[in-house]
Amino acid sequence: MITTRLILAGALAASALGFAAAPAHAADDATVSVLHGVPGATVDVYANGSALLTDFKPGTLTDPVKLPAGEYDLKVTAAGAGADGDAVIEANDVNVPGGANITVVAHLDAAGKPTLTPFVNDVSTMDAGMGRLTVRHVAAAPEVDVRANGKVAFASLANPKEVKADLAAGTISADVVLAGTDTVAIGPADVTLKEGTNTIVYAWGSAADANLALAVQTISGLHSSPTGVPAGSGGQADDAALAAQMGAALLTAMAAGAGVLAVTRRKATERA
Amino acid sequence: MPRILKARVAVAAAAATLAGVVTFTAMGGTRDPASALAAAEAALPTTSPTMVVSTTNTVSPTPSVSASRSPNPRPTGVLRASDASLTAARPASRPPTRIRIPSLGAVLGIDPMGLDRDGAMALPESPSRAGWYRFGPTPGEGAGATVVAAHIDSRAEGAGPFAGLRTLDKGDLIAVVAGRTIRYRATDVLRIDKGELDLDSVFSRTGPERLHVVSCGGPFNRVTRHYEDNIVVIAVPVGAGSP
Repeated sequence: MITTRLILAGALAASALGFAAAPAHAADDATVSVLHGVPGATVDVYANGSALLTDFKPGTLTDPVKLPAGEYDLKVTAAGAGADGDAVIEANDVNVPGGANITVVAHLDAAGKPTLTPFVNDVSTMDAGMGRLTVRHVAAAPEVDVRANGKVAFASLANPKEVKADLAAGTISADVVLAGTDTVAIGPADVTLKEGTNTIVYAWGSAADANLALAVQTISGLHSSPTGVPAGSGGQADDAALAAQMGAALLTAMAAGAGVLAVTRRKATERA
Repeated sequence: MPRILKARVAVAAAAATLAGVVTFTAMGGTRDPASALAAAEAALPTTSPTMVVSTTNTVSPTPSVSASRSPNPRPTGVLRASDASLTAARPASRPPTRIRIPSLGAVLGIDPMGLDRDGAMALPESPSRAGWYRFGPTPGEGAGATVVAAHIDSRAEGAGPFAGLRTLDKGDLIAVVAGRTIRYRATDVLRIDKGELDLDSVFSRTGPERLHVVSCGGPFNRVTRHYEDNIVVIAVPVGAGSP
């Protein structure tokens, strides 16, 4: 049994789920998902003594849930062990900060012991046309390099760290190799980086048990809009010409009015 | 509230100071600009910029375990978990390939387009072909605005079919082929100064499904070689409460 105190951020339970009395305040709520990355152990998860997740299987990810900010006691037990059952992993006074988007990962540390790590997901907007790739090492394995299309994209990633980058949206062939080598540990696999989406890839499992695998979480809606739609360069469809043809006084007046306006072009920095 | 104009312009409109301040009008109608804006806003269903979090998976090199949902009964208050492996399968929504506007006699092929080097939506060079913003919703996807745009003209080819967009009337039919044919009816035809165009609304990915047909319009600036306005036709699927 391992007791972990989560300092950075943390986990679950919720008024939305009936576990806490406090009403949900959207602005202050945290968004929390839970990933199960401990091979071979189907578990139940308790939050503040109530069952939050039952029959939680390795390699699965929960739907995100809104939780009010606060502190939570988390306990992971063997499936069916009950609220008073022995803890496989336990984390008390887990701080859930308001407004954050967090994934709590139950996984093996580098030495193969079960642990919980909360990761804060980057949900900032990205430039139009880009997709965000986040890679998290949560496997019982040494440092690795992450390769994209055969080239090292992220070097020397250790458990339980993450790396990320915004890349042109599209599909990459990704694999994971032992750091500084060409020894493939996982993959290659095609990973689709959808535009405006943070694609979070977890390397989980155990090298010693030969069950390393990838899990994926995606967070969409982080896109930006194009900066404009410049849709004409000829000038043949100019209002002035059309107005003359049509004798449309209104259009002429509007064209004149527009002429004195300074067209303020939208800048990338204006975007939310 | 969805907007095609930026917020500050909407405020100006509400204050009835719009005329003479910004270049804006509803084409194909006799309404004044302020009421046209109000109508456009009323016609559009609510969009919200809330973030969508999904657990959609991507492609896998290996056949994945099925059980996408935990099979055990889930009492109230228990979170659901789903398979996070790199599985295949995005529901196939087909990109649009053709747009037809019978009232203009216009039929244009559609190319999937991304961004130009300035971060603006890229368009096919020829005004007789349209572009679909490939990072946004596909027709029939069920939510958000599918954006189809074409140059109004080019130096080489002169005015194209979308030069007539401004003459569309409310209720006019627009058909888009995306595997199957999806029919829309125009709810608003707007001309908006490019500096006042709310691009986040034009390219919105949330809210009810709709079609935004975009081109240029208004006066042509011979120095920048750009038109100063955008024409935006808002259309909703036939049967979705369109007029």
